[in-house]
Amino acid sequence: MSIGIEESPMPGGRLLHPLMQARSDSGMGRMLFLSVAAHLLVALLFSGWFVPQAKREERPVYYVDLISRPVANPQAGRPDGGGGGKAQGNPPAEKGVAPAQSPPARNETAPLPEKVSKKAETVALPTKAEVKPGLKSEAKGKPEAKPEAKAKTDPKPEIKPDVKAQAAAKSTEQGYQQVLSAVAALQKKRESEQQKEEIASLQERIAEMSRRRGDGAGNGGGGTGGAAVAGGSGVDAPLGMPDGTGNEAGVSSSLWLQTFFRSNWRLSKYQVSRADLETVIRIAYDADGNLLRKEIVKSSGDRIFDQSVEDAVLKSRKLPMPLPAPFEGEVIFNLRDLQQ
Amino acid sequence: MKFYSHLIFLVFSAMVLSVTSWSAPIEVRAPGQQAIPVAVTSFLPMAGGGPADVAREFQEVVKDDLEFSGIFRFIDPEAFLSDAGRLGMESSQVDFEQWRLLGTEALVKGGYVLEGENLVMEARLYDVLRGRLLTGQRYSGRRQDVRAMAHAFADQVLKALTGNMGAFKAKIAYINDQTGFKELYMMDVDGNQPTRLTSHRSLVLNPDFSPQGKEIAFTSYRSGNPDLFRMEVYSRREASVSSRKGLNIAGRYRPPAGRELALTITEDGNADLFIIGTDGRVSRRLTSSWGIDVDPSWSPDGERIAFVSDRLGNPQIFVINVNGGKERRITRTGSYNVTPAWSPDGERIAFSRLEGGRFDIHTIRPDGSDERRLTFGAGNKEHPRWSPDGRFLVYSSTEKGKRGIYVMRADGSGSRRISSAAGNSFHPAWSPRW
Repeated sequence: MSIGIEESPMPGGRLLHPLMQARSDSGMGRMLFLSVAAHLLVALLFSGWFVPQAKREERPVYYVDLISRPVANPQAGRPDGGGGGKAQGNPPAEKGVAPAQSPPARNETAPLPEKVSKKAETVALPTKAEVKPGLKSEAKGKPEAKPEAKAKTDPKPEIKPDVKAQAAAKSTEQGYQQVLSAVAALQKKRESEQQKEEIASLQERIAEMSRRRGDGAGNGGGGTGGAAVAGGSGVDAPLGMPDGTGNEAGVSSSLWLQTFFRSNWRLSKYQVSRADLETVIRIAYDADGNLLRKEIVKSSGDRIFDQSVEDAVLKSRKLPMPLPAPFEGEVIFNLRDLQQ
Repeated sequence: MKFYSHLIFLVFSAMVLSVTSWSAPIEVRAPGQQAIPVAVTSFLPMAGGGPADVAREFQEVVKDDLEFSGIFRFIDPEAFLSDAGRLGMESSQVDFEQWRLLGTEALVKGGYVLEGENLVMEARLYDVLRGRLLTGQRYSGRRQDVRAMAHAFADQVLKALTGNMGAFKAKIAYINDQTGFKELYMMDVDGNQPTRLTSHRSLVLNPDFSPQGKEIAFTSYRSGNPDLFRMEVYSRREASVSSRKGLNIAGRYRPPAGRELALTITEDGNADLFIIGTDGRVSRRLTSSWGIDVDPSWSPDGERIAFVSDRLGNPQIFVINVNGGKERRITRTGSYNVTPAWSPDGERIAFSRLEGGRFDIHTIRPDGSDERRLTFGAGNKEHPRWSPDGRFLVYSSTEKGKRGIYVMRADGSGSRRISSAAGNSFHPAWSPRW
């Protein structure tokens, strides 16, 4: 009974000690009461009531290329398309690439998934990487900041220089071709999990490079890189959802909308003085993607914050993709992933 | 009975609907874009030709201020389309579609009239997305006021986009030794127009602006003893406030009225904190510990004071309630924490800590929690003071050799030197909006 208390790392354990001594001369009921109380206390201590900086819950964050199609019953796969977008019959690349989405698009591929299994559920980003698109333009000169998680198993050392910042556009081009052929070679004899990992990491590299090719000129439409990615087709991890059970190539509509609103939402952390702001807005779209209604259901209390949320929706009067069904629902905007 | 069957049907269909369509709400946990793209156009002459350099100066100052705020990303003027060359300043005359094409969300346009030495500036900030005017200001003054006009407009831009007025149209008081003596100076927040205020030819230290802004308290050894003075900035008239035997140092005006000052007096042999009226009479003794109690800093409501005391053996930051109550130690780490400065919103206290032979600036909550380090790298960073809008900190640093005045954002980013290279500059204080 007392184990939970004795082992508790919190001061609660020490606090309760005198109470524990009283236990010996009382009945079972009292002991039980004490135990329950002590457990409640421990639970309370850990609940964050007494620890103001309670640890924020972690949860996987998926982002999709907005050229992916929102569907009703997505198949199993990766929400960012895994580089196999074209093979899955997802042609409308030129249709809906909002020019403003380049920073988030770049973020998607920067950190590599540690492990890409058959289901490939990893596009979860460390929050740190995604928080700083504001700094992006300054950091652009050095794209080599990419994590090299796969370096140990890299079968093609000669492609390495491409990742370096100094690489001229030409060598990027060459490297791109090299990587393409490397992927093709690997595909022929892919049997082990190990090789799948290599392919996945090479895909990431292609995506990165083609993006760099796509917006080498500057801020412009980086999103078009996705179209080039589609060239590396036929690999594993098709476009879909990690938990997808359907048969359509595409991502779930809510994930698609989440990414879309995020990419359209613009707010500087220096515009608001608090990080605990949250606005809930109710939005309705028809199946063609036309905005029908918007209404703030719960205001954050901060005029600037609310307005930025409304702006994000106003920028989305017409979605670049049709939805599988009309949408009506609440969208929550907050700053939980913003580092202070 | 019929009613119930209807009800059951309704509930059932509602359940079916909620399952088939979008049940869980979508949560967006961070903005995808965290800088506002702004276009700052060259202001155009509204009458006559007029030289463009005055417009260029205005534009540069506005851009510098906005850049320092950290909120913006500037659209390259090379990309500007025809609307940038048109004066039309009514919302209906601006071609917002052009600006949307460039991805601009905020647009600064304006015009000016320069006749002789008389300058009129008309400045506008537009919300491009909604196609409407956010703020419009008309400034008239002399040619040399153009920088002040630009700072004032930058403050308005921040107000329009954050809800809080900026603090660029303000002054920074500081001490400089270029004459061979440490004298009191004042400059713009970007370091322009440094002006010497005192000629004591002795040692002047530790300036503080009154909450109304037009008065500075400082300590001077002018008559051999460190006495507390106050000076009316416009007339430069000075008066001694406290010239008790021993130290009369680090005077800080009590907000919000500024009719009292907290300072350290050593008249009875020990350094303790007192509150005195601006006429110099002691209204209250705050501490009477055996240790040295120095560097008071008021909470914005004027009810509490953060200060430094070495009563526990080494200097640490304490907070005391002015109307009685126990002193509470708030810094728990580090063995040398000094010069607290309470933020204008009351949420944080900045201070400098000596660690590994170097001073660096940290902030902490007034309850002692959530300590954060703001500065890194070479040099001593000392004497932090807040801008009145709480966005920035001004401090002195030796990172480039000599001591200079630097500013940075309250999160430690964007630091830049503002004082000129002449002599050593230190002990800064940011005035209220001027």
